[in-house]
Amino acid sequence: MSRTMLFVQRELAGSLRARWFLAYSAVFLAGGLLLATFGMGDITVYGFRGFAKAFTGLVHLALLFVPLMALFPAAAAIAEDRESGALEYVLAQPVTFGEVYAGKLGGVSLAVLLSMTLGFGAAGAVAVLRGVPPGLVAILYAFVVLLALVFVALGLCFSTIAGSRARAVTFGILVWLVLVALGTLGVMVAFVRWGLPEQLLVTWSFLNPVEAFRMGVVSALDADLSLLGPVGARVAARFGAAGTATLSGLSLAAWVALPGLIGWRLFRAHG
Amino acid sequence: MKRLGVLLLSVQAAQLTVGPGGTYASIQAALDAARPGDTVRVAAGVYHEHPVIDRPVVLLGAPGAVIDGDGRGVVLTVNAAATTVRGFIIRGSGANQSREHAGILVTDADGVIIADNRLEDVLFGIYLKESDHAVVEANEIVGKNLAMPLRGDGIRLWYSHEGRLNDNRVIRSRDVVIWFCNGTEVRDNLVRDSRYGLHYMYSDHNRFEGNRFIANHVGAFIMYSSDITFRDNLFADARGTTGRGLGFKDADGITAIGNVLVKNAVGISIDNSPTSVDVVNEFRDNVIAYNDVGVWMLPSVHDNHFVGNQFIDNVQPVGISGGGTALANVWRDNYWSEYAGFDERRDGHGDTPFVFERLSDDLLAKHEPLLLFNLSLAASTLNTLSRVFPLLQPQPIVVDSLPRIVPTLSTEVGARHGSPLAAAGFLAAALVAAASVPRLRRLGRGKS
Repeated sequence: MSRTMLFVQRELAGSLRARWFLAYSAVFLAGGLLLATFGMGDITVYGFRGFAKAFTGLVHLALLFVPLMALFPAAAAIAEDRESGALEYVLAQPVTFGEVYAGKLGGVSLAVLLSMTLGFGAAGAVAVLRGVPPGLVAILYAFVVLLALVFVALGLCFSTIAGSRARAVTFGILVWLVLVALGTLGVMVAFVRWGLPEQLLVTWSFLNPVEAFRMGVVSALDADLSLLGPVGARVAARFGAAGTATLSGLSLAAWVALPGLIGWRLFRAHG
Repeated sequence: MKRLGVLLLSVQAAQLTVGPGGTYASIQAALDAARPGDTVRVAAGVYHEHPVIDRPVVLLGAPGAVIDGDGRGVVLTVNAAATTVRGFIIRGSGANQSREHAGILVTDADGVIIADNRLEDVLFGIYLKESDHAVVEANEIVGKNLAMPLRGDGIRLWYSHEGRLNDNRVIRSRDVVIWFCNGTEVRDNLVRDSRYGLHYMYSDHNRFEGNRFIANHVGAFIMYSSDITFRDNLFADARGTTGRGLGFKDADGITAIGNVLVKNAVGISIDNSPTSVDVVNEFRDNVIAYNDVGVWMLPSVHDNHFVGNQFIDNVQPVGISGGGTALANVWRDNYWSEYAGFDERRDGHGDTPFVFERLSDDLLAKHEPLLLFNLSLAASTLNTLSRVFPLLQPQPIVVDSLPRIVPTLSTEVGARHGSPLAAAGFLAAALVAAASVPRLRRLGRGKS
């Protein structure tokens, strides 16, 4: 087995042993199941069923839980080892910075993916049984995985920069708050106060990974994005539903790659 | 008197036959030879011609009788009252909108019956101009495969009063148009994949019952008209920024009962209706479900009575353009799926009023581009903030003093609509993930 895989195993097992991680996974699973079971009414109207609200609930659940589930183990991954001196010990062995970094990235990512698969698999099964199109659940799952990887990469990057685990986690939570709510609230306030051009709203929606996630899943739910008002409809008219989802996916992928790369370079420079 | 004349003539009516084994080779030849009241029977076959009916006859097509306009002009023209056209496939009109190329064009001809025809590859389908008392029944109209702005209207009634449109199917047209037509009855029709399922102006005392408007840009839009009844119609899947199930502008005396508005961008849209003083619009026992916005109004709209309706899982049950409230209208005895009250009195109604207010909706309504952030956590945060800090609470959009506690719709078990195979796949993924956790936790232990 390669040394990288050994580090992956160690990190994966460490994350899965953490009680808070299991607790988060359990809450995520329970929340998903509750939403899928009770979020959708049993009423079928002329063959039409509504699941926009339940779907929105799942999206919000993902936005609240997934980033934090990914941030905590990732933020701890390097900073904690540095604090305990384990990192110094490990790097004194015949291993490369790249193997250690890749192992930590892979291990935390796998742990988060397992948790996502458990939660979304169970909630998705119920949702599909209750009439939600399987493709929609699959797309939501794919975007959730991407979102989780974004916050794993961000967390690991912070873990590399921060002097301690606490600092890395605090910084991660601040960034999460900005991306999830404060940033968008700021953009909304700026729009109301100064009348920002629409293009800036659209740019923010694709540049912010949390909003990009929302754009991606809403485009799967509502192809013409009429749920997102006239600007949303213009986005759909310009890019189409598939184009919007692809742009969102690319934005998320960039948010995985860039912090991952920056973190690795910093780790190599200061590790 | 004109009708009596037609009746007398029909007593001595002759039968003329067209096609293989018939007396005439072309439909036009038979029509030219026919006397008022005669019946022209057309055998199966394709007739490449553009017949014009200028005397009251009954034109009957045998199964397989096709009139093909070869992509030019109007296919069949009716200029005579009390004419019947039945049983044809009519296809291949021209595609010139300014010349209004149609499958069947009826002009200044009262009492015409157009029934049991299939019109395909036509720009306009059935077009009635200044022709009262028409019956358009059980026709199927499929428009030309053109971009929406280039299509014609599936059915158009123009200054044609007291008409009956029953059991027709209109697919892929531009609009079904009823303008300047009073006393019309529209029953059990299907309009889908078109722009306006019903584009309706300056027409009074009309009745719409049992129609289905599905996947059109707009289900039905009623403008500058009064005394209109909608009963038991379905308005579904009108999406896009202009998507409206049923819309009203300057419309008085509307009665909408038992309609279903489902999965539209906007279920019911109301602009300046009612427009007259002392007039009320009544919306009763309708199901308004799974729309982005259930009922959308302009802020000045008043005197619409919403009683006994069921608002089910609309993303936003009621919205006001530009912000404001809908309190100048009557809301009573409706079911709201957002209602979270109790029924201690056991009278089927909540003990407290249903009050709908959301800071995010208010803000987003006032600044429409911000709807881009609809369904975001930021928008939800705004609503939470307004609850925590009452100072931020907007004025309620709707207050229903007597909300119903349960819907009266019959329910179906969701599982019947699901996909067990896909569900099994998702469940298997979850189980594999769950089963692997204990083993993976042990994996690291031995090595660290």
